[in-house]
Amino acid sequence: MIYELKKLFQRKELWIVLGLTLLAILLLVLRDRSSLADAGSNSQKTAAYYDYSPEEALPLIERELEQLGSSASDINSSHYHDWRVLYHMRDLAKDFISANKNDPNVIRQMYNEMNTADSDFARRDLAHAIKLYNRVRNYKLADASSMEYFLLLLEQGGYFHYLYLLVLCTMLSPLFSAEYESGMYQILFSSKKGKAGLFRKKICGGLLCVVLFAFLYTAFTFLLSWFWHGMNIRMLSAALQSSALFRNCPYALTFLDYALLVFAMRAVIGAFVLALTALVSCFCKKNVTVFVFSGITAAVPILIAKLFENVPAVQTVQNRLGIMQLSYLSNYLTEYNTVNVFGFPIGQFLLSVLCTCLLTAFLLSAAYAFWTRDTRHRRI
Amino acid sequence: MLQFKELTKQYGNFTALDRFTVDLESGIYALLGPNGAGKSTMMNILVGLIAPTNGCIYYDGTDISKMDDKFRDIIGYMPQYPGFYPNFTAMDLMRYMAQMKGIPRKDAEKRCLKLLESVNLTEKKDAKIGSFSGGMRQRLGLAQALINDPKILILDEPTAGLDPKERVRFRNMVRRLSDQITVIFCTHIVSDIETIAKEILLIHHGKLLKKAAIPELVEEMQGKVWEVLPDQDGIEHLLDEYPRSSLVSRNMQTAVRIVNDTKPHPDAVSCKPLLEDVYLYMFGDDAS
Repeated sequence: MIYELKKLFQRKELWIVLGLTLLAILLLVLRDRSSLADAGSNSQKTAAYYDYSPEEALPLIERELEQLGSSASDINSSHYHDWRVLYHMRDLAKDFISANKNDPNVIRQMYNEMNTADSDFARRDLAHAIKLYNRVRNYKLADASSMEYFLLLLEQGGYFHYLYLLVLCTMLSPLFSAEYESGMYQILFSSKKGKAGLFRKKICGGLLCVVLFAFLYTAFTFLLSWFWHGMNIRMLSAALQSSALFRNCPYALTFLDYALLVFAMRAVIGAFVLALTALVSCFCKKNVTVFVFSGITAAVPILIAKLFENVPAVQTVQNRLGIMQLSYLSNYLTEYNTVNVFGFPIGQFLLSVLCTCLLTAFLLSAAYAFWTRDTRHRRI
Repeated sequence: MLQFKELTKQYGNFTALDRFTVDLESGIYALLGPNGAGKSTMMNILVGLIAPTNGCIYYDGTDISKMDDKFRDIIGYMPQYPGFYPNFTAMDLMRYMAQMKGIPRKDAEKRCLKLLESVNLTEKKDAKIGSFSGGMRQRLGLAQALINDPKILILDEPTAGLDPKERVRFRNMVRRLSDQITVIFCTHIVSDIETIAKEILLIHHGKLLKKAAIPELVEEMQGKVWEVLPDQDGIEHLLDEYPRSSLVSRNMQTAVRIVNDTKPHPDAVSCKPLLEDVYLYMFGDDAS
């Protein structure tokens, strides 16, 4: 298996594409950052609030906003920037406080609710929320702000999806086709392990590659947040609802849980691309052809999603059955689902994962059948 | 013993191998035939790269299709132009092949080093294959084919790209191995097999024309090989008239060597046949 990885990672094309991808990500991040980083960077007065805890900062921010005026029309152009930043900070503080229940009275109430809760899910949820509260007591508003940025990077769709697919397809397309291009297939197929053994080795190597890449991609996001926004690593244990994007999330998840879920889903998507590449390689022996075919096939679901983003019925079907949709976790995490599995409302999410895994298994089985078909010495 | 029974391979209407039947024991068997004769098809079926349309191959009485990986475990295959991974070192490739051939890790390392030494590549064991010359690749190809101590060694044009010294070394090595194993040696270079082959298999249009030892084949050619010393115009005329002819140097003069059943020229003298003459005689126009 290690040699399969070696074969893949020793290709110059992969490193060139990886380098270009990193560059593209940095450029996209810089573009996004210019809008987000406004908060607290220009005004010393507003920047000071980031050093307070959300509970301390909230009344100060509200008083400041009152002084500036209640609506955009009251604001003159010189104060407009401060007003915008303060509004953002106020929402951030409110979300953080409500998500992490940083009010002793609320916690007391939660303990009471937990004892009287009528479902296992509600009891587990409350117990988890109390645990989170105990962890995030000393966090500052700046921490919440950096986590917002971290989430923004993790939730990035569009270009980030295409870049992720680009690297995956570049990395995986030579997995099988390289043997034909180099002419090694003759030697390998006639070895003891034969086609079947080689297929297994390649799939295991490919999976390891996919998991590694999904992990590095997620870790890279974390590094970017840490480097540019000084993200506090302890903030990973804050409630996901601290972010405006996940305000309505019904699950008691932390930012770390969310990052791990994103990593896992990226690995699932990577496994699907691997299976697709394996199947395409059975018919196309050239690396470029495999790259183009598998790339286009994997990109189609994203294009369809983009095309029907304003059609709720199509979006619902895609969220349930879509493959690339798995990396838009906010689709699954921000709304309650009516289907309960073992006391958790995770039906829709599980259905999507199951669909992708089944499709991956089907593609792999088909690829295996095609790949090994000539080793059987058929007699007519 | 390796037995080919009525082995047939068809691609649509084209018959690449036509009821090919032969028995092979230990020793070197040279496969001779023009391009498209069916040699590669026969070897590809033997190593399991393609399936026969009809017929079977038996090893010690067992159908190899039923032996599956047990059969692959006893063969070593060196294809015509072994294309290796250019970024792998020679040692990487040997270790990888040892793994693919199911050799335990503890034995693999020693075996890899020993084989690289036997093909004179010890000094280059950590060099990238991309930097290897054609001859070095051929030698590495042989080393990987031998890594599992094969009982059947299949060599497809193994000496292509080797210099004379390497060629002799290669021949000696194969000769030493052939005492215990069956070597199927496919080549166009007649001199490579002239001194080491136990028997020659002559294949044409997918059919086995003849299987015989070299002396026997050469003996049959007695009285069919001629040499003439004509003038310049005569040379061109003879080469045109007899496609199975070649130019040779005799006493600072150019002679025409002709393979023909009857005396081609009044001045022609009969001469001692060689294996190359057998090849020209059997494959006629195709050989040229």
